[in-house]
Amino acid sequence: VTLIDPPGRQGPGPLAHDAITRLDLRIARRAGGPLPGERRAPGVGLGTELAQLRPYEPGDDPRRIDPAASARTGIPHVRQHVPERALTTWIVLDLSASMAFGTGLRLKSDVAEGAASTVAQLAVRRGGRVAVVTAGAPASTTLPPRSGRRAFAAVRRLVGAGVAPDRSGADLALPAALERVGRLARTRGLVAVVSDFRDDGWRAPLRTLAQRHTVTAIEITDPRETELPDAGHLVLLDPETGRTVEADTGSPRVRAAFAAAEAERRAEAAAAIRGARAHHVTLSTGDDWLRELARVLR
Amino acid sequence: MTFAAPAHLLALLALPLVALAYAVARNRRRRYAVRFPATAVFARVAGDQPRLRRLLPPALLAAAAAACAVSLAKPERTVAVPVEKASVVLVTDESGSMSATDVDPSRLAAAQSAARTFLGKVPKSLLVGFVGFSSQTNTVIEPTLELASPDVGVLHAGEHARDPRSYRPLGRLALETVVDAPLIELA
Repeated sequence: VTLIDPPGRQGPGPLAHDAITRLDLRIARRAGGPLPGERRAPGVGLGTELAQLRPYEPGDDPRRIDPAASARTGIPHVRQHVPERALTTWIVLDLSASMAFGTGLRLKSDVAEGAASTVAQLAVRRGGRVAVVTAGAPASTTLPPRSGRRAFAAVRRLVGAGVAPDRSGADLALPAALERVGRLARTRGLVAVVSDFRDDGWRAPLRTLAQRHTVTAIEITDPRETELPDAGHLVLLDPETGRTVEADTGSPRVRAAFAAAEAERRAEAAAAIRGARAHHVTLSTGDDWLRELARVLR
Repeated sequence: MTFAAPAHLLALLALPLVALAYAVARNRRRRYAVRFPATAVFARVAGDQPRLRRLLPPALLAAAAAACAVSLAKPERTVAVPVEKASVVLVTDESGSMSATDVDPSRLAAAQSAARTFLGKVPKSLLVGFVGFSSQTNTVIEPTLELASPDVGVLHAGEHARDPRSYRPLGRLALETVVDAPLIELA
């Protein structure tokens, strides 16, 4: 068993249908399209809708020569079409031990599970395909792009399998998972990265990925991670590294310094995500995450 | 060096126990550590206290406890130190024969004057006493640093003078009084 059910887990909660429908509209406007005529992908390619006519160049497929345009101009012209593709959505899901934390309504991993499920549900509509790469777990899993109800069920099963146990290490950290998606995703599509973005080194792979795909970074946070309460002397334990730190949370100076550092870290991460031209969505365990997801993406 | 109450030294054995208790308490706190994903960020801004600052208070406490235990055991040592203590006792004959005037103005007055001259010249650190005698010892003033007291004795010498006929020589008795006086220590 490489994944555990974290204590206090209660699942993502009910996935309200209305909100998901509204999200669907939003995502449809953002990404390239699924099967015949439904959505447009960037560039030119195979399809039925004319994108442009241009003079023939050696190497072009002679079957694409447009007879009418060639006759009118006297120069052979080829037709180029708006590409029509099934939208492939890649979900990068962080399963690291730090996701098994939550002091609000539910755990961060619960919110991540809900967000990934919602994205998967939207992705498999209208012939879309969904793929998942998990990161941060001792044995990472890759679900290849598939479409249909069964693919959605497989995704639900995978994202609901739990999180990595403490100090288990990861064979595929978040940056490596992003690189893997970049290698595997040939066609342009949507990439949803669901993580708390506490690792290092994800900025460059995210930027590379966003140059080709539409990337949505879904950051999962917990209110307690940004501010410590006055709880006297504590020993804090990093779930991933096992490092312990003695903390005097009774000191207002320490609490203020921590809050400032954490705010700075999050601002810096948000700037990096914006700089990569990715969409940034922040979901908190203390709120109704689905409402927030719908509100931000609407 | 010896200890007057060495049993108290057993308290020193408790010090390792206290150190052990400290370590156990520390380990216990670590066992009930709080899982916190932002630990790395916290460690960067307000990391562990320096080891010295963490260990200094318990170390000082242990040192204080050890000092208490040792002092309760009363360490002691015998050291020879010079004692500057000398006693001088003025022994004056107060018998009737001292009223003779063959010395001007009388033998007693001459003795008193000589005693006062002596008192005026001795160093103040000297213990001086006074014993007057005739047929018995009359005035006993223990050796003291207060020069006024022997002076009073000198002043009143002769008040107990008896009839010369009843006189018995008691000089020896007076000297014995000086030697035996319980508070007079001839160091």
